[in-house]
Amino acid sequence: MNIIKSNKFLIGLIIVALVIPLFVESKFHLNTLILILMFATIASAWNILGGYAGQLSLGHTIFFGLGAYTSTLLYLNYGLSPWIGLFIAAAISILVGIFIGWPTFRLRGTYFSLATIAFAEVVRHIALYWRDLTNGSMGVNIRFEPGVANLIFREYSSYYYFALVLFLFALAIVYYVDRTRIGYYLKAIRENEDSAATLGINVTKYKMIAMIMSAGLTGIAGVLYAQFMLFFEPDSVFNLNFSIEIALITIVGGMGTIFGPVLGAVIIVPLNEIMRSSFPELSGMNYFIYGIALILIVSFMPNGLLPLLKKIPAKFKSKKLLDVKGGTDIDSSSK
Amino acid sequence: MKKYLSLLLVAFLLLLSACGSNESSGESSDSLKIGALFPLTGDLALLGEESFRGVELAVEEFNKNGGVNGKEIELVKGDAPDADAGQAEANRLVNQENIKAIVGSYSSSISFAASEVTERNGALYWELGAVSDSVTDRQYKYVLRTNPPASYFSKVNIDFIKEVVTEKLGKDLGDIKVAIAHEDSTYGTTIAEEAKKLADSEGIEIVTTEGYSSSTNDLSSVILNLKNANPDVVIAVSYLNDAILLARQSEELGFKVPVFIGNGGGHTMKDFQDAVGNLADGLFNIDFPQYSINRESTPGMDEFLEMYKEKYGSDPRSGHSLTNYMGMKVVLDVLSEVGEVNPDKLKEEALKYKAEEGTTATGWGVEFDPKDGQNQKGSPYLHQWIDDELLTVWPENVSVEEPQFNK
Amino acid sequence: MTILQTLISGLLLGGIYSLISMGLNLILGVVRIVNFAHGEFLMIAMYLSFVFYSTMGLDPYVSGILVIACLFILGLITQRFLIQPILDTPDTTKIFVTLGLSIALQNLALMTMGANHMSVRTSYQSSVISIGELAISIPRLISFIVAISVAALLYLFLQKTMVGKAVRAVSMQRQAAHLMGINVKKIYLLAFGIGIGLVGLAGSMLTPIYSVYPTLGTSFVLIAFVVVVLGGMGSMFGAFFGGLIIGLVEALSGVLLETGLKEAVYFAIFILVLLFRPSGIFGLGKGAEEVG
Repeated sequence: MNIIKSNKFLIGLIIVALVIPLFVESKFHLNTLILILMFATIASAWNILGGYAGQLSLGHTIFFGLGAYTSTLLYLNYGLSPWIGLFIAAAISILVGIFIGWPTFRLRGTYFSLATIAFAEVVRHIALYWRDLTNGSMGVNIRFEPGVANLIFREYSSYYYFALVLFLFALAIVYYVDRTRIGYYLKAIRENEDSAATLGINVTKYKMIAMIMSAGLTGIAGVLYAQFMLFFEPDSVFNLNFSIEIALITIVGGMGTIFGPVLGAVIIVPLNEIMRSSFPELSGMNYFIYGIALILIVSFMPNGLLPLLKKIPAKFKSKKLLDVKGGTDIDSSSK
Repeated sequence: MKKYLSLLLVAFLLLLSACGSNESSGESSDSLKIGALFPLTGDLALLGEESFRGVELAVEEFNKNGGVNGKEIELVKGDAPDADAGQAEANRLVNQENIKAIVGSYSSSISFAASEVTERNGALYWELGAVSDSVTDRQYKYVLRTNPPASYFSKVNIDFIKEVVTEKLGKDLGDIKVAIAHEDSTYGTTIAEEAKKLADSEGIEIVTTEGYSSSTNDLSSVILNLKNANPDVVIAVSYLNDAILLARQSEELGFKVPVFIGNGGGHTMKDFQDAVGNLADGLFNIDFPQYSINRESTPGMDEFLEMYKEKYGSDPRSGHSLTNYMGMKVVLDVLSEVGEVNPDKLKEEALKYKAEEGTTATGWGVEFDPKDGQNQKGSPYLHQWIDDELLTVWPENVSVEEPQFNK
Repeated sequence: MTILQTLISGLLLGGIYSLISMGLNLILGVVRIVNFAHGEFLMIAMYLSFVFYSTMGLDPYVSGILVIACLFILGLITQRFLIQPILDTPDTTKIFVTLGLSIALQNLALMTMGANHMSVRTSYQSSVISIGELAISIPRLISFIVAISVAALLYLFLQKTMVGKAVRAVSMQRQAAHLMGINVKKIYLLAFGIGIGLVGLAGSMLTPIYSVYPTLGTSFVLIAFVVVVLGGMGSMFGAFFGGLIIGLVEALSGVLLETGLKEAVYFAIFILVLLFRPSGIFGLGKGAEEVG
């Protein structure tokens, strides 16, 4: 029953998403929508590892940056179309993901986070240092030559559809994870790794599966970013703040849920836009408020907004249940 | 309950910030809008804000004098602490606020990211302060730049070594050993790379090149490497934090070099002198024009200083405000001729715009290269810290003092 | 000669890192909070030190006691109203609350103090003791000596006093300590206060060496994490020696390898330690694998 409902919801959502560019005239709004989709994609990817498997990576910027650099350098140096670069980017991100995951999956909780930060810092400094390959801090610049083969478009709506497809792909993967054994195993690992192992779950294997999906998707999103921005540098794609923001989006939306990351992106991305242009007279006020809001949100809503939103209809439902049965209150919101 | 309360609180905060943003866009139909994109928060906030002040002053002065045909110029501010924010803000300014010309940006990365947006949307991007050569090397249709790029900085370094240092040290060009220490962002890297290329072509020996992160806590290794190389000249490109560390730790580690040439950034700042005191004495520094300069070749500088002090209550912290002020005045002159904010017409008019050296507040002339939009008549000058003041010492037409060599 | 000087510079730098990391270590060891706002507390301490200097003309070494007191109180407030309520929440909450605090404090500083770099100019700021060609910076030497003393004092405090023993008990076994009648909340409060107070001390020692600006904390916080994990959580001597090791590594890799790679080198070492000796070099056996 529930699945059908959420399927209908999903189909409705997709239809709305498909026709949006027909109604949105402003390029600014389209730009924001593209960013929302991009961040929703990356946050969904992060969610598989961070939300479902409970491995709080703060180094996802590695895969994002690798994706961007891989496809771009192949395009600039060898004229390889980013369409092909996309797959190579995903492959390299996955390989590096395995390389990072293999030793660090032994670490628990915050230590895993710290290790991923350290990996990201190493990669950033190497990218800055290895100038022959990456052009160092001067960054790489893709010439604006629109063309389907170049994966560069004049129209923002083309980017929008590209981002939408990517997002739906990510959503499908998360959906698959959520509805199959993998999801249950991952959640079991998140709740209690030792018990999960005792129950016969191959903990490392399933963490690695989560890592592979997560890293690959993030790498592909990096390609989208590169093709959309056309300029990037180590400090913009290997940036700790970026990793933090991705995690934040997922947390605000709701970790370990299918739609949490989208919800988070829908809230955080426009919020960032608004914040930046707020309080032009007092530099710093905008981010000060951002910091305070962050503290409040995570301390009072540690499970994110999605469960909270779900509760609202549940309240009415539980009243009905009471009426009918006239007895025990069944809280349908709990898992 | 707590949850909903905090939800309310957050909503309130957001509302508050939304109001904050609305206040800024109080529109009046009789104004011409220009975007101003600068890093006003984050690591680059200090000089980003200093740069913005110059633009603000130029616009205020212009509006006081009647604007364009009675229409005032309205600056719409964008805060871009990094490249991503630069992209997003440029997008907001162009596509949301419907602005057809943006000035900026102090930082080259921000400039790159933002000009990708303006180019795609057919808006004009007028750079007033970022120095990476690639900003104009891309030959974008809608990019102009008033300030001199990094390669011009490097050229002054090498020219000064060639024309003055050799003579003062009594050495041949081929015998002079030059070491380079630079922070490894775009700014430091481009100046260092260009200087290396130029040195190679002039036959000057570069004995070591040390790149480091400007947020570092320790430069002892850089200094020891420099000390080992035993150079006659150090060319340094630093931000503030590292410039201070470089000076203090050089003193601690007993590293002295006959000729030390800083390149803007940290070595220009009053904060630098405040921090290191007499260690600054005698250091050379190549940068945009500063304030102890021959006033005859920089008409309008005194008025600028007066306006600055009146508005902000202190002296400028560096020449960034002046450079942006001068650049913005060129923008406004061109705008007056055109009468509307039309990117194509502005570009066309800008290419026709000519000013001789010694006629602007920075002493620069103006002549844009029709190919890439770079102003070819601007140049950084050589300054020296003498008795706690940063005096312009070279070239002679703008100098107030001879360059001094103690050893 | 260069190598010897590099070793000296590295050790002195290490002293600074130790000083900054000890507070973080105590907090991580006892309260089990990875405080991402640690660098911002350092920044606040240095601003305070600067303000005492510029308004009252107090030397940073003299005003140190005031700065420590202020930071101790700030630590108590932070623990009571920000950290205490989230102690039983998931890791994400803990991480993001301190991250939010870091962002807020950084921008609060930008709003109130501006983006300028502020420096205290003392007569001794670049004085050195010279031994032949070798140079030892006096302010750095002072902070080094303070770091040793603090490590020793903290060690004595934790080993010999009743309160110290209670702190260690809580850090080892929260539940058991509670059952033994130790007021765990109070110990947390105390540990956090002392931890942030130590940052105040570090700030006072650093003010003659570095200038202060709003984003100063970011350049120290990651290093402090590296030092704490390397040295071993909960071990004061671990934090001390961890700091020295990282200082040495940073200085040596700058001279022997490439300056541009020194950050990459110490983060790589950090990863290796996490992987092969998660409890840290001087750790008490409890490490990354067991606690989170």
